[in-house]
Amino acid sequence: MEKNKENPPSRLSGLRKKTPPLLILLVALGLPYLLGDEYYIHVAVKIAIWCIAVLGLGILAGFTGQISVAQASFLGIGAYASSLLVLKAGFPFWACVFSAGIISAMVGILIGYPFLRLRGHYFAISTLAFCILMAHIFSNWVFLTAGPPGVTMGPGQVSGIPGASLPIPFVGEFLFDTKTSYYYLVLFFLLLAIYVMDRLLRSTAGRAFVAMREDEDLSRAVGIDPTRYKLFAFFLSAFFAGVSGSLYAHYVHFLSADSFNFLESFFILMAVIIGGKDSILGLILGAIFINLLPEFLSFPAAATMISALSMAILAVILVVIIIFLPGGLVDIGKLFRSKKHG
Amino acid sequence: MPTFETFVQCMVNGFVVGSGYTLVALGLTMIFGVLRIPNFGHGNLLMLSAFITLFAGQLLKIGYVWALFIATGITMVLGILSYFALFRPVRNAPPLNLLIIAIGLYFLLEAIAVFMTQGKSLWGSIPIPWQGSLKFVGATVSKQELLLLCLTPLLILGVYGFIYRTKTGNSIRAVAQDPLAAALVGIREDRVMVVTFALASALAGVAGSLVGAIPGMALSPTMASMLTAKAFVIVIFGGLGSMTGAIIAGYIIGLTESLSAGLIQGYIPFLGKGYADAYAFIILLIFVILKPEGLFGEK
Repeated sequence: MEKNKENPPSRLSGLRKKTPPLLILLVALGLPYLLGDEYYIHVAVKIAIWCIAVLGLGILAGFTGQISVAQASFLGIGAYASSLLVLKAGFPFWACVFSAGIISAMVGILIGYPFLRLRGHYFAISTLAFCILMAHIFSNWVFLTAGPPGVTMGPGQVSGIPGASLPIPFVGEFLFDTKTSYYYLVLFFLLLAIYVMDRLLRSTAGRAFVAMREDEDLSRAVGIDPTRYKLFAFFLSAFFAGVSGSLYAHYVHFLSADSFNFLESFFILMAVIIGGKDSILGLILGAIFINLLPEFLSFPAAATMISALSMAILAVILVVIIIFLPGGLVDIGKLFRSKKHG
Repeated sequence: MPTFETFVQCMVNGFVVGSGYTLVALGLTMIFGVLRIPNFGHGNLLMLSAFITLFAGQLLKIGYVWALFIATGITMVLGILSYFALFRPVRNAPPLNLLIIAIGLYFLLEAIAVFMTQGKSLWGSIPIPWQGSLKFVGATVSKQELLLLCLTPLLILGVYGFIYRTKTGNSIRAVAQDPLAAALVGIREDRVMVVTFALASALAGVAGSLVGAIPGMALSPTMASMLTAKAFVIVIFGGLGSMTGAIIAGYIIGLTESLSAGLIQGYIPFLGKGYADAYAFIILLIFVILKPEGLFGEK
């Protein structure tokens, strides 16, 4: 293996570069059959939905360097927007997902414009304030969101409009009504998101994002308009979150205002940093890690102690990763390699 | 229409709430000055201090004043520990990583509190020797609230005296202004950090013991999450790193909250009862749009 490294790049090495993503794709495609159990598939669906929101924040916080703590709000806007579009306007699934993304992105533009003039921590804290304000609106604007009891959209009992229910997504004759089929539906969106992001990062805009993160003044000097590109990053980030929120609403059929508070934003931000903010693979790793950790940390103890203990362990693991792997989990290979050599 | 008595009562409540905010925000802005990151875990020190005071008073039957000193001491040690165990190892990492460490500290402190309380929510209140309340132009102030009102300015004066009149205080300001230049003239960064963390944590500790003992105060491990967020709003409002700004903004936010809750709520249809906690954030959002550098911040 070591010898091959010195070979000039050939078609074979190109193939080798492509092998890991292809392998991951294969695993992702076969995952429901590898897992088997309903509950694990449920977790996989949740992670895949969450991944899209994490990828979105990856564009803004990871590549553009604008630390936003408002991603959960955009998730919530997407989720509530789709529940309203479906229940009150009768939108079909596909139009609904797209519209939820657009609505979320529009709000993103609206608050992004004033916020993006702020630098560094001023921006971060302002997004935190926005997130808390949105959480208040979610739980108090009863007309739109049904307040703290939440919106139930399952077939059967529906708050708001009696008799209406959230349609199950379909293509032609096929209904996505099982966990496994919904997994593939979400996977489709996730792959689409990854594809869009990959193309984006290779484009002028993607390079501009990274340039601004590295040195905003310098990038301004070479003709990059920071406000425009940051706004674009914010737009995309909110769009991804909106789509993710819509998929979430269609999947869980129940929305509670508590799911979109600033702690959720913290978790999304942690996923970005823990995984590795410089690559799509890192972002996905982070999303999987943050979601799986609590699953592994369920201890046989009193109910509240479980959450306290897992919270403490989660915090310690996060801190340890940040200290020893500043670049995120994607660097884990580097850690072993450097140990081998010295 | 609200009466004059309501107005005075709201003013008094505003100053009480504002005192708590100010003490937390002051520590937060000091830590920001030297560490250059918002320490999300800071507010939870207040919550822990309140619980330590509670347990010292209820279980160990220690007098309130001693309990206050013990709680402040423990909080101070926790603050210093958090620097050595968490922030120091990643001091030179990108700010984003430090931010995640701060979030980790937030969860860690909350988990400690859940362990301490064993998940039970009702622990009663902190036993205090001075019961009862005073009347003041139609407003009612409990003695504990009065203590908080009077002690806060003294503590602020003490901090100012320390920061502006002592050599260590000067070195803290030097590091906050320019870490490299401070290192060049021989100021040891570690020492400055430890002193800053100790002072900021002690402020949060005193605030926790004082605020937690106000009659009717509900103690819970999550009580500080909104407080932390508001303290950030205050710090931004006053200008990041500015102590005077944090103090003034702390009282302004406290007053705005209680005045709007007592006087205008019910007159503005959109901002109903559920929004009492949201005013601070609405103010901040309007404010950062109009004046992005804060009240006293340099651009």
